Amino acid sequence: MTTHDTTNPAVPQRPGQPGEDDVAVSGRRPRSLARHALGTGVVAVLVIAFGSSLDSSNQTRVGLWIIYGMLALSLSFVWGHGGSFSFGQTLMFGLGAYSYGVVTINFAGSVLAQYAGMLVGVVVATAIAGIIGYFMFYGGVTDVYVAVITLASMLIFFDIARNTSGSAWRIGSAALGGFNGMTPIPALSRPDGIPLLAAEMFATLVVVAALVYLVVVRLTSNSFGRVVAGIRDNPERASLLGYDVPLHNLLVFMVGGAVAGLSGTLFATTQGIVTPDVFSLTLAGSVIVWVMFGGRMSMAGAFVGAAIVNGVADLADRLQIGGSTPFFGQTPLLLGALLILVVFVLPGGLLPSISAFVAKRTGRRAARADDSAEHEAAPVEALPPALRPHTGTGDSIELVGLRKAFGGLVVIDGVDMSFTGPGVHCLLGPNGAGKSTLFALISGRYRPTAGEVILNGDKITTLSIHQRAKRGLGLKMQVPSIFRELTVAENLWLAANASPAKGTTCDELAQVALRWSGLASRAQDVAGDLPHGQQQWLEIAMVLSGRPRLVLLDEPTAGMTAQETQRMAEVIGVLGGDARVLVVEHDMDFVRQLNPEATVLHQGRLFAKGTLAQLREDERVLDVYLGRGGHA
Amino acid sequence: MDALVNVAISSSFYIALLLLLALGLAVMYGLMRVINFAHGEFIAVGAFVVLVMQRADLPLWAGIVVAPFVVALMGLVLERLLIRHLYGRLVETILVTFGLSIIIQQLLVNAFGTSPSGMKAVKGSFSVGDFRFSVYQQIIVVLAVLAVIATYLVFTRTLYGLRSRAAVQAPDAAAASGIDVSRSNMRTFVLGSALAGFAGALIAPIVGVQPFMGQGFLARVFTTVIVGGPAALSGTTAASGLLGGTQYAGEAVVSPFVAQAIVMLVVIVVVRWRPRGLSAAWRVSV
Repeated sequence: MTTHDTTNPAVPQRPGQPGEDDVAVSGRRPRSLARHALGTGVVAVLVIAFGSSLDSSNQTRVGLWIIYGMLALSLSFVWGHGGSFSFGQTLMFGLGAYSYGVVTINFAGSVLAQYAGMLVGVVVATAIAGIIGYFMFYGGVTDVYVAVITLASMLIFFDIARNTSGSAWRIGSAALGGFNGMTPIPALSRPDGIPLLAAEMFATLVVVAALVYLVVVRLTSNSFGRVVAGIRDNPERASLLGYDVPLHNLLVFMVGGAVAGLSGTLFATTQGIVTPDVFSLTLAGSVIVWVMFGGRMSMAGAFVGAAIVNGVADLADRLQIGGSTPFFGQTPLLLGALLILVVFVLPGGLLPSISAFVAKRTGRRAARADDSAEHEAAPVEALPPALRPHTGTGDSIELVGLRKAFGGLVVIDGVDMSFTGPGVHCLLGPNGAGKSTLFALISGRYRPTAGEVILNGDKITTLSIHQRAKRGLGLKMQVPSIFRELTVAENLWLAANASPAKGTTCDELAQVALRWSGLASRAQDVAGDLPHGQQQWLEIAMVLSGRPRLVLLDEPTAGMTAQETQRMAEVIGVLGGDARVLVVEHDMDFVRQLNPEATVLHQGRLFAKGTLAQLREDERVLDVYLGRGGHA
Repeated sequence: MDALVNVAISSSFYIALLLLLALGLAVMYGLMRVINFAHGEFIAVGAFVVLVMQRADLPLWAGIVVAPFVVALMGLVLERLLIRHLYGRLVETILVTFGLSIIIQQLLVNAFGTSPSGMKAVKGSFSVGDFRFSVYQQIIVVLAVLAVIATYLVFTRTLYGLRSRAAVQAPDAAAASGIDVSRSNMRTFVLGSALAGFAGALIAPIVGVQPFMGQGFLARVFTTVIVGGPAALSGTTAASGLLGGTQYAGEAVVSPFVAQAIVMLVVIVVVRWRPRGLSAAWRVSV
């Protein structure tokens, strides 16, 4: 509804005027909401003014586009912002519509029932979204499976709704009506019971849509929204930071369900009838076309897409050429062709493409060129106090009889290990020895086939990744796991926000991590664009922002220069004074700098343990590394 | 005894029908990870081929033979024009195939209207005790089983089958060892289309042939493939057994309506505990 930028936090924005010492860390500022509110208000007034120039039938027609825009908005939020491709978003729309119908028909003549009906519609839609979402997100359903499950759920409701003709299918005095639908549903009234005029209804729709839009935009840009963006980008990293990924996905799905349900109640009250078609593939597909056309990452695009696509379809439907209407009833052809066209030609959708074009023309991102000259960045100080865990010395991690098999392939074959208190320990071993798998078992990415992981005396074997992160476990993965579509600043903000520190705000902590990581000049760059070495530092800065007491570092120096490797050794040295650090590394020069106690892993078993000097004397270890002899 | 025979014959029809309808989709999903949202319309086109041929007074079996080729040709054209640009991009594939599905529907409406006539019913039945069975339903069961066996042989006994299984499991390694992944994907899409056309032709006499018939199958077929998981044949067969059997039992004991609700519950439970499908944990890939 506004002409503003997209609400996609993945698009780098330059917030305020970042000074030398104060690089804005959170990436977005509250002022953008005020700007949005003002812009939305202006657009809403313009739309109402435009609407008052229409006759009443056109007011109803355009009003329906606004209702559809709200439905599309719910999908943009769930899919574009949240990353869950809900193909059956109209299920919640239809439930809202039917619920409103049931309540208002049962209490016909009561204005209060109309408001209650809206509330019930929203509640029912949210609840069903909650149930479906629970099974999907806590079951680990992702990607296109979300599309298939939501679609199948919706089509099942379609079947159910079609089979409700006959007098047995009534709720109170409201007959569901089967294929013919439920009618007559009372139109929304003024408090004195007089139904709203078309113009009043139109203005009401615009105001409601504007408010809902602002709420949704707020939910994309506040801290919840930024966490959701991070989860969309990299759910694994998000959970490693301590975010509850299924919960966030579920909440987003429920908010989307509520918005869809609300638009469904408005649909019911303006149309006066609800048929099973609200659950049809046609409507579900149409919503996707609107959202794709407007730009699924753009909340405003939902309204633009719904209005333009419906407007063009309406015009084509009524177009007269030589007394005939050649395109009458051909809307599906338009929708289908448009969908295919958008996928191939305009994959981002209309609004984001326009704002990208405008941004390019006005050179908003020109300043980036200055920064890219800088290639190497590394921390200049060892480790600032804010990033240190300040642990007691009592932390302990214990692995008891740990075993992991993939099908018949045993990767970890009975590992027992135990560490108490801070210190650095290296895991060595040839490729395929099971080092990364062992880390995955400790961090919760894999569940062991047998055995226990015990942290400070508590069995954490069955805890999820984010619960372990909350208990002070940090994992740096072999291939840097960062939020590739988000800016460096947003990456660090997400890390800081996951583990609030006493006496320090999240922004301050992110600020410290940013300066320490040496990436301050690239704060507003998309993290995926960084060179490999800088991605390593970014990930390590993110891990350390959680101030973990048990730190797992999987090949931390891969892709780093000699100087950076040197720095990394110093950082780990300092870190080892506070936390228990386990390092997997192949770079023996680096390991020598750390000079830790080390364990050699071979074919999933502990093979040897000792100081580096001791291990270097051990012929068997050399055999394993050089592939000599027959130590199986 | 008669009742047992009745249960066996009736439930096997439910299961075979589901398997038949899902097979083409399962092949595409299992061998190229493409979820074809136009699958229902591919089935519908197969059914319309039979309808057109019946209107021309050609026998049913001729339609059943021709339909797979027509739909395969349609699949070939669409794959070369559109789908091949989208491999590896699941969401885009869904969007484009969905776009195709509504276009095909509308074209069928334009050509045949919303309730075309001219489809002849197939007569013939036999009885076991008090129960009567349609001969044609048994033919469908037999042909569905044959279709599965034929597909299995194609997967396991042909070079194409080997290559396409390699391509879906390790695309990079397959490409590096000289397999033309794009070519094997094309063949898979054509094979899946042919199976959809075959299914459409077979069911044409027993369901109403109309442009939106594909929509009616979509939910059941999709859930069958998803519940089946990555192993295209064994997974889909198991899922057809589970869901078709449940549907039959529910309808026989309570009502079609309740049966559908029970099937949905089964799907939800499977998805909750086996999000990647029944066959995800199996050691077979076919």
